[in-house]
Amino acid sequence: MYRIHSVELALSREGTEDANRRFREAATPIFKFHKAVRSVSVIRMDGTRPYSVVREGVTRLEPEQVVSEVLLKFAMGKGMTEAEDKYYGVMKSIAISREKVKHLVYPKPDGILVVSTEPGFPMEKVDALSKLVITLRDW
Amino acid sequence: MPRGGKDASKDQSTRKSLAPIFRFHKTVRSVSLIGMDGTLLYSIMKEGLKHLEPEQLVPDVLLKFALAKGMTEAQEEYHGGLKSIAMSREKVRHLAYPKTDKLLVVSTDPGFPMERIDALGKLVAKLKVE
Repeated sequence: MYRIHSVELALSREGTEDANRRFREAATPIFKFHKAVRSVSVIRMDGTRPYSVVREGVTRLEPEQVVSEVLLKFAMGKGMTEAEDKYYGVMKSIAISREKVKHLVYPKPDGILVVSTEPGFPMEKVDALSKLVITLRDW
Repeated sequence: MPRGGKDASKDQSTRKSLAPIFRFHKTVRSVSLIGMDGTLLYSIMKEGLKHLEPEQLVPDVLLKFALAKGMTEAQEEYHGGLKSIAMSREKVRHLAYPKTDKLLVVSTDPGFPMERIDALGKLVAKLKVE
């Protein structure tokens, strides 16, 4: 149903297909959550194992070769602020609104999950999506 | 972390100019302005509230927002200009809005309604802050 795009180059072909399938299945509830969701991506905090799934019929706004770079910057942004957890509590989400897209960044145990949406995605849904992300199984 | 000293009168005018943001929602805790080089120009708390973090850490915390904006500027070509960053934590929300060559950061209690972020951005855009 959803076109898979993997930006990980290190996996074997067999491994990539298996990982892609598991990630696509895990991401499906997020696409179903709201029609404005364009893509779902993950990356580990050390910058490894980036995966990104785009909704069928949606074209990325950025060239495919910069996807992992964009994800890495989000991971770095979260990493930069971890020292503040003791004062502010743990991170629940980061919502970055730009003219053409919204990026919603959610922490996962060993990385981050990034949901990119159309600009019209309702901000009041950010916290509800966070609860869905928490319940998703890992892949 | 107001300017203090001989700039005390300017602090009063700054507080006055920021009053609409404090009035915007009861959960607003503080308003800060940082330069894109990370310089903290001021940080004004709502009367009667205390920082959650040690005061000497406030510039470091805010500097990271300037860094985050700078790090992602290359994406503007594909994703358009930055409108806002909303960082939600257990005890606080930080809302950052670009303001020409500066960044205005509004810190709120966690209960600040997310659906008001764009409306607050419009208010920030209209305000004259310096």
